[in-house]
Amino acid sequence: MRASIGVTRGAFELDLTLEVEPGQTLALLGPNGAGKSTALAALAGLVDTTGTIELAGRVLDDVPVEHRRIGYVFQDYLLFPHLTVLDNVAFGSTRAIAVEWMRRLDIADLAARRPPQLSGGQAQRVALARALATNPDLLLLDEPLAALDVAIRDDVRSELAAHLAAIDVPTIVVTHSFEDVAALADHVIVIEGGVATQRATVRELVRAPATPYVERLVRDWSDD
Amino acid sequence: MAHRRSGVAPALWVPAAIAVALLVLPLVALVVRAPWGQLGSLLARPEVLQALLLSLGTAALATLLCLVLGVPLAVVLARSVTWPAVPRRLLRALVTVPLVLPPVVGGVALLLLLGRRGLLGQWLDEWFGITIPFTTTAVVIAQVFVALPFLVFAVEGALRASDGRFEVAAATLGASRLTVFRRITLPLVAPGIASGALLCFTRSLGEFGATITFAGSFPGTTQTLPISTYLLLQSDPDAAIALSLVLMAVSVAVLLTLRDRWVPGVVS
Repeated sequence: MRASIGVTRGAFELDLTLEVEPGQTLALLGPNGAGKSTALAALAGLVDTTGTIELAGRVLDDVPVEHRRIGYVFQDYLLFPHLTVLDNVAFGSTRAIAVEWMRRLDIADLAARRPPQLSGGQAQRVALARALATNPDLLLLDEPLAALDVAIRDDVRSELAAHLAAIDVPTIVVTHSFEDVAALADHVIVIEGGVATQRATVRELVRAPATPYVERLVRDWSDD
Repeated sequence: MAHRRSGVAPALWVPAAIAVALLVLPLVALVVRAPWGQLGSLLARPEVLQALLLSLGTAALATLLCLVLGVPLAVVLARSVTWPAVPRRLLRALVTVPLVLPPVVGGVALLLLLGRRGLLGQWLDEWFGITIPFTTTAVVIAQVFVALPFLVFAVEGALRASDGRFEVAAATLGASRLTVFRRITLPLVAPGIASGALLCFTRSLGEFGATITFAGSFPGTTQTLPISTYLLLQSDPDAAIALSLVLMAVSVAVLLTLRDRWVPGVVS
C-alpha cells in the first residue's frame, strides 16, 4: 500500500505520504488533532483527499468506500447494536467465514450475544473479526485501545499484538500512546500539526527521537 | 430553597386546573352518558359495523401508503441538513402544511386537483376514465394527505437521533447504500417508524373534514366512523355516543402504547 494524502479543513492541512507492506504494522503516532484519524478516514474514502492511494495493484482515488476493501476498526468499534455478534461479523462476509474468524479470535462462544452485552475487550475482538472477515487488502485501527478501561488495556494490547502478528494484511494503527506503538507496530510515522515529523522503526524512535513530543513520549514510556 | 424553586405560584393553579377540566370533562361526559347497557347491540348494527370496517380498512391502507411514501421522504428530509437554506426550509414547510391547514381546506384542494374538472382529475377522467372524488379511494387519499406529516416527522426525528456512523461502518464492510438503508438504517429507526405509523393510523381513523369534502358521505363507500358519528348525532344520539366511545378507545390505546415515545414531555 502506497498513499499520498492531502486534506484541507479550514485552517488545518494534512499532508502525508505513507507506505506499508503485507505483514507489517505501521503506527501513526501523534497528539490529539494532529490529523492521524483524518488520514485513516482519507484512506478509507470517508473524507475527500487530494493525492493518490494505491492498494494491492489498484488506484483507489475514485473508488467509493464500499468497494475499497479496507477493513476499518473504529475507536468505539461501532458494532451494530441490533445484530448479534455473529451477524455483526458476517455483515460484510458469509457466516462460514465469520465463524472461522470468530474461532481464530476466540470469540466463538459470544456468537449469540448482542453488542451491549460485551465487555470492552470482547467488543474490540468482534470489531476486529468483522473487519477481517471481509478479507480486506488493508486494515485500519483507530485508537484501538482508547475505549477500554485502563485496568484491562495491557492485556487487550498484548492479545491484539498477537492477532496482528498472525495476519498477513498490511495494517495501520492510529494512536497517541507509545505503549501501543511499542507493542503493535514495526514502523512509525510521527504526525504533528498535519505533517510527518519523524519516520522510523520503533527502535530508532526510542534511540533518536526527532522532536520534543516524541522525546517526552519515549521518556514517559521508559520510566514506566 | 430547592423545594420553593420547583413550586408553582398559587395563582397559576386555577387556570391550570380549568385547562385540565376543559380537556377531561368532555370525555367524562361521554363516558357517563354512554348507553353502556345497549353498547353491544348498537355496535352490532349493520350500518355501524359497515362504517367501522370501512374506517379500519381505509385507515390501514392510508397508513401503508404513508409508510411507503413517508419513510423515503423522512430520509430525504433528515439528510437535507446539507442543502442550501431555501430548498431545505421549503421542503420542511411543505411537509408541515397539512398539520396546520384546516382539513376542510385540504378537501377542497384535493377536489380542485383530482375532481372531474380538477387540474389532474380532468385528464384522469378523459384518458383513463378514472374518477376519484366520492369513492373509497378518495377517502384513503384524504387520510394520507392529513396523516402523512405525522409519520414523516416521527421517522425523521428517529433518523436524526440515530448515530449515522453505523452507516459509515457498514459501508466500510462493503455494503451498498441500499443495503445500508435496509440492514442498518431501517432497523435502527424501527421504533420511530412504528410510533409514526401508529400516530398516522389514529389520525387517519379520526379524519373528518377533508374526507367529507373530497369523498362525501356514502354509506359503505365513503361514510367513515367520524362522519357516521356526526350524522347519527341528529337521528340516533345513543349510536353516535357508542361510535364516539370506539374512536376514543382507539385514541387512548394508542396513547398508552406510545407513552414512552413521541408523546411530548413524556419522552424519557
